Amino acid sequence: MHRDALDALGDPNRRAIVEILSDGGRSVQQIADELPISRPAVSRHLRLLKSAGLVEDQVDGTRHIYELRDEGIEAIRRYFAEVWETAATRFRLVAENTDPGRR
Amino acid sequence: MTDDPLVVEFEVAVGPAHAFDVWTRRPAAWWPASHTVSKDPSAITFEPRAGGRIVERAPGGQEHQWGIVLDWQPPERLRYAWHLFFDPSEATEIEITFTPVEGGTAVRLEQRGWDRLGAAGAPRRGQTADVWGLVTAAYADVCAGESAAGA
Repeated sequence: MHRDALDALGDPNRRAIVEILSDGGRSVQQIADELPISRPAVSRHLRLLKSAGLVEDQVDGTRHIYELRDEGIEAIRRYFAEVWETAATRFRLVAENTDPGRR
Repeated sequence: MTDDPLVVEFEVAVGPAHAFDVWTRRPAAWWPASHTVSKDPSAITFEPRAGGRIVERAPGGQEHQWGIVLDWQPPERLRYAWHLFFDPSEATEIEITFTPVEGGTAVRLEQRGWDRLGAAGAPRRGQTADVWGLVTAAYADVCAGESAAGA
């Protein structure tokens, strides 16, 4: 699931949408008002973000309010924990193989 | 919790001075190439001072700035702002300590800034941008079709 989330964030407009939503829930129109892209384009991005598990929507009267979904962010954080574990393993090998203090 | 710092701790069987040196002078040897801009960096360089740049040099000679050194205290401590692909305002903060222990060095890495994304819908004062340098690093990996965990 987290790979979908990361793929979804590969687009600068989708990153911008997530940043906007980090300040709180917004309607599609409210998001479009803050970005130089059309409302249909915002809707497309939101669908992709929703399918990636990063946002969820709630119906408020006739409007859909989109919010960040905590689990999606947690998935990204876990992903980076894995990246550091990989880097740490490689670091240890390089450091120990190049140690001037041992032969 | 998403707002806890990400902490990675491990020990390495070398002294702190060498550990600090490998971290800052040979990152191209250990940082996964899949998480670089060029995928094949000829060098990743820490300019050895507070305020120094962290720069990836691509095979064609282009430079990609990854961040800025905030504290340079060899051999025990290093702190830097890390944005990798993005604007410096989009940097998360990484602090690493190298502590001598019996048989080597305890390395502790802390990465902060996850709280900026926070719980769904919660009002946030600050910028969220800190996280995005990291996210794009991961995105580059996705584009490259590489495994997340690697080794």
